[in-house]
Amino acid sequence: MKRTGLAALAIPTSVLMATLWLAIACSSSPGTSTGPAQHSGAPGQSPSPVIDVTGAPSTTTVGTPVPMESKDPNAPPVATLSGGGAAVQGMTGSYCWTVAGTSACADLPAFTDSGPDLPVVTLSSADTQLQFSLADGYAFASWTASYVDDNGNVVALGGGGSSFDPDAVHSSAAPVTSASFGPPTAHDQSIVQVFVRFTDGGDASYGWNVAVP
Amino acid sequence: MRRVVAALAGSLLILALSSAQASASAPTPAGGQVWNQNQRVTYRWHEGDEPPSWMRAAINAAASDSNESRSAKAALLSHASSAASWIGYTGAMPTTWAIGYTVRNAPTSFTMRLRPQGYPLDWGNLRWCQAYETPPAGCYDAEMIALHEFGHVQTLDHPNDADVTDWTDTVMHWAPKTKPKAGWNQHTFGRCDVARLQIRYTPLSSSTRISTCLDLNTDLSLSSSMASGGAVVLTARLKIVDGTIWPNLASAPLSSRTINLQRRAIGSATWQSFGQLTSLDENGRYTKTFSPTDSYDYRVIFNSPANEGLEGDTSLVVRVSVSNGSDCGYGQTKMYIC
Repeated sequence: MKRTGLAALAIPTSVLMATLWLAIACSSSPGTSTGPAQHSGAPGQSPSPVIDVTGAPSTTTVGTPVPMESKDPNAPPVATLSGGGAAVQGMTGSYCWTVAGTSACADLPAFTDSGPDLPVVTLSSADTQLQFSLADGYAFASWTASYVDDNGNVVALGGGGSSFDPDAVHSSAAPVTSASFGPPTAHDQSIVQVFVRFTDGGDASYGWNVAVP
Repeated sequence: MRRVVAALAGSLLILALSSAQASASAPTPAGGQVWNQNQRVTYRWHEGDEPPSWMRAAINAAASDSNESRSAKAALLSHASSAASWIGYTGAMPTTWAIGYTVRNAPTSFTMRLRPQGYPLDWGNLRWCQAYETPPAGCYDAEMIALHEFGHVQTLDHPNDADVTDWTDTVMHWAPKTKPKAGWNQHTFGRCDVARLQIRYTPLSSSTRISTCLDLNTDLSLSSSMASGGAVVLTARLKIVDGTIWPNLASAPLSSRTINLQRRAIGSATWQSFGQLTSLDENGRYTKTFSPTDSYDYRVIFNSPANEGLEGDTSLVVRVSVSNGSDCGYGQTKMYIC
């Protein structure tokens, strides 16, 4: 059941974020990344077009229709998550994105059960690896995946890539184009969120509901 | 005639104190073109989308928060009736569920949008704490959110929370907290926000404390010279090392720090405290003048401060030899006191 009102907005958000860094910091980052990129995001490059998942073949992964939450011409590329089947486009959360020297940052509440309905990825088994990627193989520098458990704790699922510091001497990030990580523990639905930093600066967060049998 | 010889004994001692700071968090990420150092950037209220008075007060307070806590030559923000940049109180944002949205075109202008009180989001109706006499749990502190947006104006991005040790290290979290969770009403940049501002814009002055989110090596040198009346002047210079990975901070002078002076008798291995040097100027120079009565080796020590992201350093040794007319040897520069 979806909660309403501002308390619903506040409490899950707070619980989620209060534990995010703890859980991730303790993680062994078991996930993996794929790289180098086939093509990376060059400064000023326009976001890639949205992946159309409506025509996906019938598989064990089901994509729930998602409203296009962002009409921002300065928005980062959309992301998809798959669990052995069709890729499901996620909801884009907060981001910073630069196009042709203009930087736009959008700030959203955290992904919570009380928030917008997140697209659903249904796994066929509890050991199915999740695959994350950006539209058209857009590259990113680093990533962190996590989920919210029954107690509201944020639990790390994986992370990888390398940091990018535009102000440092000899700064460079080896780009990756996909990330792979294990699923949450078995649950009807768990919020899975992926935060990425891009090779040329900027960041984005993405969310899904993942159902694990 | 009494003779004093001061010499730099370059290879006698090279000690490096290494009381490293605990600095697990990384400087807040940033990107894009910066503003000019200390550039005054004014904003107006967007015509037709003027915030209510309580929101204006919160935004202006956040601008002051940015100015006062930047600890760097980042942009100075303030309201003006006429300005190229604007802030609007509007639901017209190009992304559906954002509560704040900032676009910057440094060093020219920026725009900022904040959603109105009561705006229906899928999480519930947006509530700003400042809209209430007694802010309810679950409200967003408008001053903190505006400071976050001003952080974007200053070119800060969102950090990966996995890189953040303490929530209050930054106000730039990608999912800000609501009342009453820790950090919900933080009204200063976090130490890792300050670190990035110092990296991008340089510290406000050579006396400005370096963020503990950094861990910079320092270079402390010592020289000597003669003064009138048989006195010796020891002059130290403290700076960030030349080779730090952030060019804006390389070789930056460090003033108003504590520089301890030590001395030892010639041939002794035991150093004893001999007071402190006084900060001389904004170029990171420190000095002490005294009249030696015997020969000693001298060195200065900068201990890693608990409240700064600086490593300590120890200078090379300077020998001050006092004699009564005989040549002190060594072939060093000789200074005479008559």
